[in-house]
Order: sequence, then C-alpha cells, then structure tokens
Amino acid sequence: MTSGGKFAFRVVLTGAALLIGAAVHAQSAGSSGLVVQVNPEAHLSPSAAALAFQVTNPGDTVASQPVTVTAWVRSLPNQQIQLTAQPVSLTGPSGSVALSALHWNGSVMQATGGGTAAACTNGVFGNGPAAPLIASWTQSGIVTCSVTFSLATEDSWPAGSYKGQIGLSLFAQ
Amino acid sequence: MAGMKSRTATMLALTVAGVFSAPPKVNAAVMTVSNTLQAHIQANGSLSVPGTTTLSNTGTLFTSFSGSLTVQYRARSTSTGGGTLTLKVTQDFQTGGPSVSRGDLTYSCGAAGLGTACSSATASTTSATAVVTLPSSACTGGGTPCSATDPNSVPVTFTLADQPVDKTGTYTANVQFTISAT
Repeated sequence: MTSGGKFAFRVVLTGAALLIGAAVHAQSAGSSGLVVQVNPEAHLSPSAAALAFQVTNPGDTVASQPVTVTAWVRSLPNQQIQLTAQPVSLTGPSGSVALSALHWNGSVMQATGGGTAAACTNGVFGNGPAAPLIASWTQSGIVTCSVTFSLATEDSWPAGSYKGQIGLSLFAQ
Repeated sequence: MAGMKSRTATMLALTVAGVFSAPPKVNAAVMTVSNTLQAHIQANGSLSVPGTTTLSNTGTLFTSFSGSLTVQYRARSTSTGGGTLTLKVTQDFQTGGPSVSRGDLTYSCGAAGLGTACSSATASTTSATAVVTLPSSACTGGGTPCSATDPNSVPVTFTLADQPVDKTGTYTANVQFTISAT
C-alpha cells in the first residue's frame, strides 16, 4: 500500500470529551432544626435594698433615695406573680426603730409583656408578712418600679442618721 | 526403485529448502491513536449540616440560649467567580415562643476552612445572610492552592434571646444553609 514494503495507517481520533459538572452556577442546600426548651424563670434585681435616711429637722418628711427594682418573670399559665418586700432592720440615733415606721411609694418605670397590666404599689410596712410591691401581675413579662422608702410622718424623729435593710422576693404561684 | 529414490530425494530437497529458506517478508502495521480528553471542570458546591441543633441556657437569669453546629462543605469556584455559604430561617419558632422575625436569633462564625467566615449577624426569615464568602479560584482539598482539608468546615454558634414574654414550652425553627459557586 505504501512504498518500501512498509505500510502504516494512522488513525487519529479527536473529539472525545468528558464533561464534569453540569452547571456554571452550582448550588446545594441543607437544613437544620433549632430546638429550644423554654422553662419558667424569674429574676429580680436587686434582691435587697439598703436604706439611709438623714433627719436634719425633726418633723420633716424623710425619704430615702429611690430604689429601682426590676423583675423578669416567665410564669406558667394562671399563676399570680408577686414581688414582695420585707424590712429586715431599721436603726436610728436612739437604736432600733419599729419596722412599722417605714412607708414605701412605688411607680412604674417600665413594663413589657404581661407586666404592662401590673401596678407598683404604695403602703406602710407592718410587723407581719412581707408587703407586695407590685399588684395585678398575672402574665409573663418585665416590670421595673422606682420605689421610695420613707419614715412615717406621724412621728417626730430625732435628728441623725437612720439605716435600714429591705429584703425583696419574687415568685409566681 | 531408482525412480522412487529420485522422487524421495527431490521431496527431501524441497522440504529442506522449505524449512531453511527465509520466511516470506512480513510488513508490520503501526497504529498511532491520539485521543484528546477534555475535562470541562466547572464551579460546584455541596454541604452537609446536622439535622437538629439544641439551644440551651444555664441558670435562671434569662440568659440567652445558645447552641452550635458545624457546616461541612466542599466548593470550587472559577478564576473569575466566587461563592457564598448562607443561611436563612425558613420556619420561625412557633407562636408564643422566641421569634426570629423579632430579631431574637443571632449567630457568629468560627474560622472557616475555606473562604472568609462571618463575624456575627442577625438571622432572618426573609433574606439569606452570609456564613462564608468564597473567593475566586477556591477549591476544597489537596493542599495548595486548594484547602488542606476535605471537606471544609465552619462552626456556627446561634444565640437566642430569652425573653420573659416567651411562654414556656418547646419550640423549633428551621434554618436552611445554601452554598453556591460560580
């Protein structure tokens, strides 16, 4: 077929192509479920308040600096949420003073959720159980009260420094 | 008899000649085959995430819930392209619980095995937000110029606000991760 007794034929195959990948813009996705368990919680700040009164002129109204009390509560349905205060001690220039001499006056500074229906209270501490600082709070939320403590005006307190301690509690039941 | 000997000798001579003579010339057939294999490698991406991630908190101080997952991914981008790994909340937590649409869910990213990880962002139910940004000529595995590991991974930590107004119960949201490359 060719000269010299040699023959060769050449086969050239061109054009076998392997395509890898199907699209210029490739996209893939996957999902994950985020699971959270929300439990009842309650948080109070502060849990106690230190009181300080300075009587300069006996007979004047004597009030402490306002105390900001914030309560966060997540309660179960149909629970009543209570924030209470219990005087622990009160002393003056002449020694111990009756805890019933303490008054409080509260006002709402901020409220969210079910706390918007709540009210910060006013009253006089007795010698009995703790007094409620918040009323009408039945659903989860946040309430911040500004509470001013004062000495009863019915008495004329001797001049001098008075100090006291108030314990605060928060619970739902 | 003499004729028979003569014929025998002739056959022997022909046989010897046939055995010892040169074989007929053989022409070798040389075939050269040339194949062109053309691999058209395009941009690609794939990922995997755990099916469930649990968010939890400690104490009773309304501290945020948190939980982490690791996204494993593979990517290849072109010299003129790039890519993204994003997340989007496709199903918000149920009514009464935490709310992604309220902005309760944020996330942050750890170091990414390939590309640039996010710092922190707020998750959304309406738009995809970045987890990893892939540069051009990115590729997974095999070492330089690709990443050293295969697959690549990026840790994502979710933080969910613990709002007092959220009612007690168990809630689930669905987060979709998407990787795309060009």
